[in-house]
Amino acid sequence: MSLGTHHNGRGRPAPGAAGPLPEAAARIRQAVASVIEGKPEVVRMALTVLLAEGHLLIEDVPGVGKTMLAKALGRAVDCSVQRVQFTPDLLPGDITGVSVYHQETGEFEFNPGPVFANIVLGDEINRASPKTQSALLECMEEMQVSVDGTPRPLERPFMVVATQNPGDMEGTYPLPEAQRDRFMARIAVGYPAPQAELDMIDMHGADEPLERLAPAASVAEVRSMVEQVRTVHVAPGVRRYVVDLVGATRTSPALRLGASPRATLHLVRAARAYAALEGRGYVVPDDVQALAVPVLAHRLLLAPEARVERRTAEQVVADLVARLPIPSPR
Amino acid sequence: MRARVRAAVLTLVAAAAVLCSLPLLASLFSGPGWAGAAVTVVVLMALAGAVLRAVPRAAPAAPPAQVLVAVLALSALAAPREAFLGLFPTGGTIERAVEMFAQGRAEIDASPPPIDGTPAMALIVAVGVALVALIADLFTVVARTPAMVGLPVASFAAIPLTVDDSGVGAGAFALAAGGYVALLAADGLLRGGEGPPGSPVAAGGPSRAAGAAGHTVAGVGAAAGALVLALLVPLAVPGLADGQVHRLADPSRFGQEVVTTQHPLVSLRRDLASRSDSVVLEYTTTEDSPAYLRTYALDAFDGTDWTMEPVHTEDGAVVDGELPRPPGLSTALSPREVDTEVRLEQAPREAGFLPLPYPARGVDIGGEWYADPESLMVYSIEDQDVGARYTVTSLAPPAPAEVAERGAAPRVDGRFTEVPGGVDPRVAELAASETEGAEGPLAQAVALQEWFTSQNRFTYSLDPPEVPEGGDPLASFLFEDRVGYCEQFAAAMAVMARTLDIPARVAVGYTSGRQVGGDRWEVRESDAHAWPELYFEGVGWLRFEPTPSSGGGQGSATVPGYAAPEALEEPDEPGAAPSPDRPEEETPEPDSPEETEEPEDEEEPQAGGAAEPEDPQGGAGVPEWSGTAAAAAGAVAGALVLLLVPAAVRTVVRRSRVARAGGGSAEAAAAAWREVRALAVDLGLRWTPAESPRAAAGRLGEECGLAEADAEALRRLALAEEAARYAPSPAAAPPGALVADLRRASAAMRRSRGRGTRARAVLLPRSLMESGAARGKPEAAATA
Repeated sequence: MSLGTHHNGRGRPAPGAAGPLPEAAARIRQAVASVIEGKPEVVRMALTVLLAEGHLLIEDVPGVGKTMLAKALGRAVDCSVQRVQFTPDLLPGDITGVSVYHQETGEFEFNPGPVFANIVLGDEINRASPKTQSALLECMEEMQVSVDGTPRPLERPFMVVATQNPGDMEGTYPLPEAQRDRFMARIAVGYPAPQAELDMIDMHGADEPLERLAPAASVAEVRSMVEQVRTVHVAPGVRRYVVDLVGATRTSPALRLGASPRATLHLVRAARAYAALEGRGYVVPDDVQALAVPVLAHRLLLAPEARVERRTAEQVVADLVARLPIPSPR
Repeated sequence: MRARVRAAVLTLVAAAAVLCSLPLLASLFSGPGWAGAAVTVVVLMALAGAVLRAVPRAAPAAPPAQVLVAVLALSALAAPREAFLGLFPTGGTIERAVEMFAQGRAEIDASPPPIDGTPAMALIVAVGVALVALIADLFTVVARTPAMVGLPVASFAAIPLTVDDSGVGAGAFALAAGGYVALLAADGLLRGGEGPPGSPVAAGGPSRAAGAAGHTVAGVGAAAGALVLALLVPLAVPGLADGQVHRLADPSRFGQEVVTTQHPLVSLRRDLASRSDSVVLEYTTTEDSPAYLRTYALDAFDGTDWTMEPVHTEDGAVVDGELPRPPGLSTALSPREVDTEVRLEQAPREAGFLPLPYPARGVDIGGEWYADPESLMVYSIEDQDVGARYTVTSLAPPAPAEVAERGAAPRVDGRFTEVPGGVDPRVAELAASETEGAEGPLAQAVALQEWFTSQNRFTYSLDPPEVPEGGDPLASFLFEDRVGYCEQFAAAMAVMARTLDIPARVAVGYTSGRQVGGDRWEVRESDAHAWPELYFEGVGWLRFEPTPSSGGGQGSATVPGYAAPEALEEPDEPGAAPSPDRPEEETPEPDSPEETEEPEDEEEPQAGGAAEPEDPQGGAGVPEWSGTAAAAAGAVAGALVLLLVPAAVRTVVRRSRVARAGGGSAEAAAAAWREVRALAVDLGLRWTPAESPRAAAGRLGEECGLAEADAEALRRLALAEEAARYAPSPAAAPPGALVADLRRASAAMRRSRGRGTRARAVLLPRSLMESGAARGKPEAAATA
């Protein structure tokens, strides 16, 4: 897959050229994969979202390695990682930080919350109250924290990895669709394959693999990778394809709520990162197709009929992808 | 959406181009009636095609729908009464159509152009034009090669150019060329803007439009330039033409001109113009009783006149001393050769035919001469500056015995026994009754000749009574006045022979003339003559002489030895025959027919004897059978050709794609990938528009179980196409690499399928059934 190497014209930094990006990306993936056994797709999706400056929602049952994934990712790129365990009594200030009055200086001093990190792991976000949830989501959208009227920018890269237990669990406040929309992608980790689970026993038997994980890239490298992703070419046909695909979710009779224009932007950004990870300087419909389910499905509301048929949003999106003609110049 | 409109518009433009070329045919017809049906059918077909192509997902149905519309329209136009609801063809429609075709053919045969625009002609034209319109539509919209439309449209021009010296009018040519260029322009405008994305052409907005316009200008410029060049080059290059545009299609260049003469014809009703009696030619021969000198052989009878089917220089061998072997002459016979030195009073003119004894074996003459292999007529198509002398070697006529033993069924073109439907049935009855008791075709022929010449039934006169307008000249000659001259006798006997299924034609030329001393003979205009030539398997064409000779008849006419009635009765007597008697030990007795019939049949068992055991006429069924067989063979050949049309179109399309794939441009990858797609569709493999190239390549590789290297070639093609479509500036593939990959992947895909599938892919390529413009276009957003 070296086609991308031919296309570094126009005096810009080589868009997604096979320079540092695929190489560094491969190192990161390898590092994370050494901890998360047998889930290369999950690792790739997490890295895609990181490079596309999006946020990741991991929805799965407890204990499948959601937290491990976030931690491994943070360690692999040598970023600061903060973990917030969401509970019903968690307050917005517990996330963003609070201003504390110092008696010696007589001034308010800002104590940054856990959100001031490159990767913020929000565990079981659906256990917190909606008010707290929305505080985190505000940070995600605006990339800054406003406490007492002072905006404080967040460090880049900034990525929230929120985990959520499936909606029907007790004592949870499932994220409303408006807030799910702010996550670029939702993935499920899933149970490991039997062999991967066996390997896991061996690995975790000796010591904590996370401890052994050496950083594979620096924050600066990640920032430059993010810059490169932005230059990946998206042909007019592919843009049109994305718009058609998102539009199709709005007209599909199986859906009560289609994807938002924000979804369109997220899909294009994710596709750029996905292509760059492949070492390609341009997006192909395959990238969009691979990302359609993780990027779109969590934003959709099924129509009652589809619910009755026990279809899932993932299935509906996959159907649309299978039926929408790919862009062709001819 | 846009793609559909494009396809619909192109459908209409292609039909318009076909309509624009219709005036090319105008010189063939008189009156406006010939074109109406064709225009109606083409317009209806175009509308049906355009509407279906404009409707989502209906495009593949367009070509079948056009065929259906054409059939309905033709049946309504040809035979509204027979059609069910005035529209749907029934058995009666087909009968009526066949009838009209026969009628139309007769009209074509009957008169040189211009032909009256009768309903039958209109139907024939409409069928032909509908076919051309369908082909043009397939080329333009389905195969996306509008330039190929030039071929079927040019066929319109080919017809008048081959049958009419006046060629094609400048206006008609300009209109047709304009329609063609407009089609190219429309295609360029509509498709020109569809370059790969990222290329300047498709970058959107004004540059896109500019790109399309550029395409169009370039395409139209090239087409117009080619047309102008085609017209100018012949003017500039000496020897290519003499300056007239229509001479482009001159015979010697294209080798398929019809030699036009002053339309030789032998008429049953024509009156003779004044006759001078000047010397036409002189010749020297050692023969005591020289053969007639034949100029033309007229092989077509239309009910009134005998005319000559056009002879084609492409059929004719160039005379180089030796002529083709006389048709029907058995190799067992080796007749004596006779040399004749001829001196014409006038050098042969343009399109001249040489008077020659039949059968000539060789002609010694300078210049460029052609010989028609069927009739052995020798002719030129241009003035020959060769003087007026030539030497001809001919074969002496066969001995009576040699002829008499031949009774086998004739193996000769069925048209020589064709009798048009309008001929009075009494003629056949007369021929049958007068030849009753004569066994074998030769005896029948001699009996016919006898009937004309004996008992003073007929009166020879160069001034026969007028045939009343609308009367049947043949019937009035045979049954009423019985007055005429050589043309009527020859024509009538040839027709009667045909009713007996003896192949017959009418020869026109001169009798042997008069001996003027030594071995010199002189032929005058009064020796001009017509006589029937009848065909007998084994000896070929023999002349007969139904015209009364000496006394009140054609003075110099002679009855050939084999045709003398006494020759039949006394086959051993050599006196009547001018040729030396060759020993014929096994000569059967033709006057004891009961005995000879059986051995004759056994002699030539391959002559279809098994097919006609119950035929009372003894061999009469065979020519009919051969005529039917020829028609059937023609129909089968026609059907085969039709069957091969899709394969041919597909081959053209594939070649053009492979050529473009080797071109090294961004188009190259697209062309290669389109071919992969077409092949997959042809082979019945699934192809989803929602599938990306690399996904399709992967799936095809699995479904076909391709080997690693083959699958890799397919994948490279997919990636090249992907890059061409979506990369900002696609890398040019190394020239030849794509073609090599394409060949490899195609071969592997074909190998993976069964023989039947492969054959179907070749003969019935499904990829042609899809509308090119709608292919792979994003349709309206899919819904779940």
